Amino acid sequence: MAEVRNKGRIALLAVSILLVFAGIATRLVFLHLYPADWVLEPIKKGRTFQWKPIGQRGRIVDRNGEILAMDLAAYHVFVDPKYIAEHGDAEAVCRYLAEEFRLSPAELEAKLRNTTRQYVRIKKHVPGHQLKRFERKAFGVIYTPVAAGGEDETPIYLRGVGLEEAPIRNYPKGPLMAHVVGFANAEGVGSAGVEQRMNEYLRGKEGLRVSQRDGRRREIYSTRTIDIDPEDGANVELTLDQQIQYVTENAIEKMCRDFHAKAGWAIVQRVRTGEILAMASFPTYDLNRYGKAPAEWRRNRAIAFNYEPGSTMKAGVIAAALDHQIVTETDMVDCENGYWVYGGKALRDSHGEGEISVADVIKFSSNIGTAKIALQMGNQLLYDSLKKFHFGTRLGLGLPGEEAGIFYSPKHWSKISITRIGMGHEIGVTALQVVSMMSAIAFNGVQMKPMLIKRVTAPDGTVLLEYEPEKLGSPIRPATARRMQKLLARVTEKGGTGTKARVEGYSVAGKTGTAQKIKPAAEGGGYYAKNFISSFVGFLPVENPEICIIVVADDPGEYTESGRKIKYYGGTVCGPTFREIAEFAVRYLRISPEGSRVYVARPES
Amino acid sequence: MAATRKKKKKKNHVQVPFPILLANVLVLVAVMGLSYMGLSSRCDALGKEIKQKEATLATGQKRLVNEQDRWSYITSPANLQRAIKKHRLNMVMPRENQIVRVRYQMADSKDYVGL
Repeated sequence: MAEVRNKGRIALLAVSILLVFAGIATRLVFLHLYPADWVLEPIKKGRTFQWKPIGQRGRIVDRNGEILAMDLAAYHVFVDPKYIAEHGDAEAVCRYLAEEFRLSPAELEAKLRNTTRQYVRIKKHVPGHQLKRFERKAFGVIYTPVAAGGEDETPIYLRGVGLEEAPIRNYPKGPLMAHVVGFANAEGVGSAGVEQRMNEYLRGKEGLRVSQRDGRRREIYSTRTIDIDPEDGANVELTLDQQIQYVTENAIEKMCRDFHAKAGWAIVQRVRTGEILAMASFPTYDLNRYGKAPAEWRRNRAIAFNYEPGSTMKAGVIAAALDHQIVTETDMVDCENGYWVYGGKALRDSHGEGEISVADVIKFSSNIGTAKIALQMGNQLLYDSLKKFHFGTRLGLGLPGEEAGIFYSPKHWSKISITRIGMGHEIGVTALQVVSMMSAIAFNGVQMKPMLIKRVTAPDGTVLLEYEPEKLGSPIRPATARRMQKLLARVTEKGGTGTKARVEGYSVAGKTGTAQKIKPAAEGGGYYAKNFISSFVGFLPVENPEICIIVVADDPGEYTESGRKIKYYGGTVCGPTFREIAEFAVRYLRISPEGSRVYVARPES
Repeated sequence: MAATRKKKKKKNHVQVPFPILLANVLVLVAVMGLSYMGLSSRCDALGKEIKQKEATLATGQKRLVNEQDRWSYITSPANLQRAIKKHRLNMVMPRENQIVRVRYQMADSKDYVGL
């Protein structure tokens, strides 16, 4: 009987065990094959991660491919106070990070004490090369401190410290071309210059990766479900040349220092294509520290500063008068020995002349002579002629902040306006407009659209956008332009106002300008008696013009003991600067005195 | 006795047919399972390799960018000028009388070209 009872118990036990295992097996089968959402969700949530790799912002390069702006690898350093409190060493984190990044230990400690937070950024945009002592790990970083003797200490695992990728915009050339290149802000949005203008092309596109991690927080590649690569931004190639730009920037800085000018700016343009080879403005600033520069320093005066050009305007007025055959270059004009009253207002010349030819009116820069020629033209013709040179209109360079100048129609003119506009007053222009006018004279009457951006290329080399030289118009006939080239060449010859702009071995044509500055309405309006805008605009070689340069100085000059202002004339202040830039440019661009591109240099024997 | 032995012997010789089909199915399943595991582990290994290569590429790209930045910085005109001064090279542009111009007029053009 006992045997039978035992057999029953054994069978019962066996069945029970089988049932238990069958139950576990069934549960396992259901868990694996038909898992419930509440089981799956937390696991999925813990494993799945989404990452948005950042596309680099495109580069800005000069005409020779020299990098002017580029993205550089940088990181935000952050801590996870909650994780550090649970698994890490807050004291070590505080000590080492404060030491490495020169942070206040007290502040850092306070941040780490807030254990409700899981992300606290402690240092922004740290360049990659400054993080060589850090090695990224899944739950923290391995940091190798430096001992007092300069040797490396034993690496230490700082849990809860992370490095987050955050590329920074870097400008390796510093202040070079600052006003043209502009800058992108911390969010990577172009905020000035080409960076702003070409933001649509420059900015990169984020990618997207959705994948899962293993227990050590490493990605399991085979679980990557979405993998969209980031797209880098396009590269923008400028027409500027860094060497000419450097010389131009140095030259205007020297001019401002030598002649105590408040500011100076200059443009170098290729006559035949309208390409801008250099565009400089002083004071300037370092693009890597743009936030520290005053707003006034960040202004690109070459295109964003309206000023009364003074006598440089005479080139355009007399060109128009010759073009419409109002006068010929040999016609005589009475310059009234330097003092003439018209419309109840006196007009003076700095050097009184009697009766001189139209050619000499340009050479000696006679205000009275030009005013009389303008009067012969009449209001409408003068207005129309200058409009053909695109005064009062934006030239479409495309940089933000480009001014159109101020040029009212004749219905707003007073009786004497025509005499003042002829000599470059009562008209507001930008340096770009004046250099464009002079380039038109140099290029046989053809005005080219100023070009600053050459092309935009995708990272794979595909050209997305290409600018070609574009004709703006023909403000004067070729024959007139050629006559004007000869007349303007006399300005730099002996007796002219621009002799200091002469370049050894080359014939230079140009025009000086010295205009009194406008007094703001708050100060009573009118003009300052002793504050001037001085300029020189010219081109070379006259026989076959290749480059056109304008140099402008804001309020140059110095006072003598008697209170007289000296050294402020355009020829005196801007002439030598023009020469310095031109001397370099013709050699660098290998322009021969005849305008052809040649030569080999050898040492003097 | 002999008859009994004979009978027994006869009984022992009864052959159960080998389940070839079942064996084939089992072998196929086993091969497929092993292949799956093999391919799966190979995929994982490839995945790891790809990840490693991605990391190497990213590091390489960062290094390249850093080097380009450094190169661009040291070849900026201001730095070159500084280097020229430091090494007292005294480099200046040739004067007009130091320049020899070699010109050549193309047969089909009025323009001169440089040589």
